[in-house]
Amino acid sequence: MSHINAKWRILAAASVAAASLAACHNDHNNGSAPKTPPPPPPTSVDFSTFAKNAFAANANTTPISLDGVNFAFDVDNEPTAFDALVMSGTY
Amino acid sequence: MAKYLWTAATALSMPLLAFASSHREAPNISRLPSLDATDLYMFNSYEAGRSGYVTILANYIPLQDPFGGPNYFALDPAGLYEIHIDNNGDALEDLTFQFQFSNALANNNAGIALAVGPTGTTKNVAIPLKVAGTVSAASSANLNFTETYLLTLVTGPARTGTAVPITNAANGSATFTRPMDYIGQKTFGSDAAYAAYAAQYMYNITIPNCSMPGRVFVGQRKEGFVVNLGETFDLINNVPIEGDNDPVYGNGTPFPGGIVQSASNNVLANKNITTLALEVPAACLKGTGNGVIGAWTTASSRQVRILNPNATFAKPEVNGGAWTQVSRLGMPLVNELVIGIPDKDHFNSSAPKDDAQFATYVTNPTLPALLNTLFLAPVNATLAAPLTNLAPTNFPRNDLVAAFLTGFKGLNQESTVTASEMLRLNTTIAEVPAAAQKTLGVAAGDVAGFPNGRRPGDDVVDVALRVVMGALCYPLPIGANGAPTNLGLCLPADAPVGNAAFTDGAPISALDFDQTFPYLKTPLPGSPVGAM
Repeated sequence: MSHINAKWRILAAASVAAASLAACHNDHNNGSAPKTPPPPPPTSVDFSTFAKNAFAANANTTPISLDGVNFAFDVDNEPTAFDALVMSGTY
Repeated sequence: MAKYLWTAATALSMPLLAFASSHREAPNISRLPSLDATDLYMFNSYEAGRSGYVTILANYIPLQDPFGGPNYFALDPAGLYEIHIDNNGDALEDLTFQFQFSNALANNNAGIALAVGPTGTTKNVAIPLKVAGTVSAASSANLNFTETYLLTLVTGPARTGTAVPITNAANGSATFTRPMDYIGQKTFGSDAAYAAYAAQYMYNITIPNCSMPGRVFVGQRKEGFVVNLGETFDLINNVPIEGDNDPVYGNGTPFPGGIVQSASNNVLANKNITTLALEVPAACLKGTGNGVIGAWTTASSRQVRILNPNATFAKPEVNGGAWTQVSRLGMPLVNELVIGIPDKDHFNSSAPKDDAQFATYVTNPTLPALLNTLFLAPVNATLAAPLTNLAPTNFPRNDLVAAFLTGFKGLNQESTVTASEMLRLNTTIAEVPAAAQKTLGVAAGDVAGFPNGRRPGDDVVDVALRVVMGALCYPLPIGANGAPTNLGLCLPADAPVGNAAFTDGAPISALDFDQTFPYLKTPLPGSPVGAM
């Protein structure tokens, strides 16, 4: 256990150092650029969930807009998704 | 001044204009050819005895080589093809004709099979072709592939309005058949035999809320659009001004070195197209408006498509979700000539009611500006000329707003109009027989022609060329007895080359087409070689 803790401490220290260097580098390059916080990352939408909802929508409804949608893909965790949706005959 | 005009036109040579009415005009739709609308025609029927009817032709699947077997050109069974009509000028559809296609192989999708192998141990094996023998008007038993469709009229919004099936007036059936494409003369016998085979799939139809029957036909036709496409894409490898004194295309002053009208300039002469054709009593289309109707065609696909990793004929994929529009076409050439490439597919997915978002493309068109930037200095250097602009200088280009977005007051504009792109037809203007039609339409004094609707024989390429370069700033012969009439949209001084006889050199005439519904001619056969 102590071996693992030591490893984490080394990694943490290395991360802090790398972050400091990166900050230094950025300050140097940015000069007097205003220091505004970066915009929050767009909310991720699970692609499988989105696709299933879109698939299930009535044909005569308005298509679901993709504007501003940031998809998260997790299909590797759903190896049976196609069979469950398509081969079940419930579509 | 005339000398300046001609020489300027020689030097500029009109590069960067790419015309193919709407064939593969946008990046995304070029990946979906079976949903790609290529041309829309709408005109007062000029077939003898059909006065009072309006014909609408929506063409799909561009650049079909007649020999494109063995699958040829089926429409998308997962698609929705629509023709929308706005009859009160609010840019919203009041009527929508919907076509939905299905297809099947013979024997419940197992296909026609042949017994192959030694006697006693033969195996039935499905053939790889869509026909197993000759086909005629009398017998389609050898067809291995059939295509049918449902036709629906929606009153009100296309997605939420009242949908009622259109039926066969002869037997009440709601299912119609589309003829097989013209595989070749050995399969069908001859051009005349194919024509007879296809003609049996022209139906008289019962249209909801319409006391008179209409007609429908869906099938392959010979491409009716003409254009000098290859040379146009090759930086306009010609001088696009009438080079002789052609009585139709010239303006009385042949331009030395200009292109000469020749059927060989039409690179689409050997292509076929797929036509969705309707003929509807005008009274059933025009609603309560002043008789002007607007039309556009769209194609849509369901929003979600899941590919079947074990694809079969019957289930290559599964589609679900909302209809999502991928193709739109009203006036010819708008998405090619006017809309910028970043917005072409956006335009294809849009509706006329939202066209304000594209207004800048019309009021401040880029192509004349590009021409001006590229060629004004060389032209003036060559001529020591005083021209300050080749492109029209009237901004906003209200002449193009009228041409593309509102129609012309007194000609093809609704009593109240919402600026929006669609093909507008005044159903109260009498049709003109084919022999009397003028291919330059209104520009030549024939007010029954383009842009008052569009007939197969209207040369929309040349009209568009002339309009973009400012033809509407000059008087048109549309007054009494053809008297020159100023439209009041702009002045000749606004358009230095607006009176030049621009042309792509690919002529067209109403006499190139049939004079009966569906007007577009029998398609070209896939064989024999040389028949195309």
